[in-house]
Amino acid sequence: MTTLLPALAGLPGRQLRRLLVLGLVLAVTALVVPTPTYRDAPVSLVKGQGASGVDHNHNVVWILFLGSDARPGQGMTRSRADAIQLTGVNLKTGHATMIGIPRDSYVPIPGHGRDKINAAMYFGGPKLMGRAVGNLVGVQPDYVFTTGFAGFRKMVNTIGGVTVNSRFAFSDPVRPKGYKVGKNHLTGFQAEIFARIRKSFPRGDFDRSGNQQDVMRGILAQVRGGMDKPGFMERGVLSVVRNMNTDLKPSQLYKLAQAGTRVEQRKLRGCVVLGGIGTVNGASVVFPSYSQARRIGRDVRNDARLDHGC
Amino acid sequence: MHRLRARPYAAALVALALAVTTASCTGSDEPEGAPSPAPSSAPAESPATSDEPAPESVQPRVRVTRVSGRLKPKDQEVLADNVGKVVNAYFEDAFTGGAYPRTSFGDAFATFSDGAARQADGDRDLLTNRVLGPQTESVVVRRQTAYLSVLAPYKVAAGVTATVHLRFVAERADKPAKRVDVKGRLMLTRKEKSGGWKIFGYDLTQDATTAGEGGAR
Repeated sequence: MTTLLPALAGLPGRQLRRLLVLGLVLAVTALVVPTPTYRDAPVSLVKGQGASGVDHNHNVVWILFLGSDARPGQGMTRSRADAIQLTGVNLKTGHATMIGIPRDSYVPIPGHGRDKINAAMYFGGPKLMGRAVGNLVGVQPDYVFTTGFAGFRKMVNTIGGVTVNSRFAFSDPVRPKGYKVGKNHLTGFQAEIFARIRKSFPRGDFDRSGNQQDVMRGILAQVRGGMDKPGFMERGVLSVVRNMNTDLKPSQLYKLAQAGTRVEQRKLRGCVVLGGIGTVNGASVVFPSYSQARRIGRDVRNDARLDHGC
Repeated sequence: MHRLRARPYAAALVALALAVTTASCTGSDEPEGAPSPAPSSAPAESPATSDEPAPESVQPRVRVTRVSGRLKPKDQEVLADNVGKVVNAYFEDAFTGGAYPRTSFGDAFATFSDGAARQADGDRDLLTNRVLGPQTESVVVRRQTAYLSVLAPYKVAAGVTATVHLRFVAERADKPAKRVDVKGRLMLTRKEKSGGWKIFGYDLTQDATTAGEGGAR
């Protein structure tokens, strides 16, 4: 036996028997179990690895979203704006910042003296409104999107409603169970009320502007959740084409919308321009904090990323 | 040009595949609401087991499945043809075409917009067959579908999302074949000057598994 293998020489008999049995088992296994047909080198592709990218002409886009208070029969772009949100989107990094402007902000309106900022749309349409907001913040919008109540409701309904994270509990007839603190899934009509109501909130117009940003966060989440579903983005953009006023062609809107889905929820920030409350000619107004507005503007102008807080 | 391996019994197997897929080709991979294929249409996928010789590559299938807005049926056909050429050209340039073994994929994004092509270049390992290409002797396409969701607010297509699925088998020398699935979305708009279509966005996954595992090839 010791002649079988030099390495086995000198082993105690019991240990040698064990080794031989083990060798026999291995040999039988090798004969009975089919030899693997291959031993493949790993390929660097991992199951389900993905890549995504969307081309847009600009890395950072500034859009002024306006909610017009036009009643039926009134021109949407020649009424006053109830909701004013200047929003920067970084299509490269996925960052975005919303800057809410209280509608009663008392500011210079180019060519029209001083007035509430939402009067700029009445005087000169979305373009003048864009200039007034741009002058306050120090960032001029690339595009101005305007919608009315009905259009807003339709757009929200098209994407399946919207979930908002409310900071306040309040009631309204459009939502019999009320709005609770925390998550609320809202229909278009309920979302409209959520974005318009202000008297229930401690900071009135400022909190309303914050609620509008909560709705926009909810819309982004809803869109990102549905963008993979065939036809979802096309239905959404069609609704925007039909219910929003903008200078963009449908193809440009489509491209912008697809690029906008690059914005990540966790990289979306919101600030509301604060200010003092007062009256001018008997009307309640907000004297906005220019220093705060300009500071935010400087922070986010080039990359839409809020680095230094509100 | 595709370099496809000619195989014996191919005609019989294609006929068999046609019969099988006619009965069951609306698989779970097909988008919800996609129309059932006409009995005479080419197979979207050609099934085979590892014990059988594989059939020849299947023909691409491109269809308009959703229109947001309005688009006449005839215009839908033209659109499917035009967009299909762009999508299929990408698949050919990046995966199924060229002379294998293949190391150059420089023309893979010729149907992308300039910006999208630049971005895609950074994702080249996933958006082309570059990883397997040098070891691949031939490519057999098993499935190549593009279902189009169209934005047409004014009776003209302004944007398209193509929900795509490319499945091919990369035959390799001295190594088991790899089955590669490329799935996801390609986003397209028109070129400003020519009105032709270009890919401006992509959201794709690539999944390479050893062919034959689980009986699938």
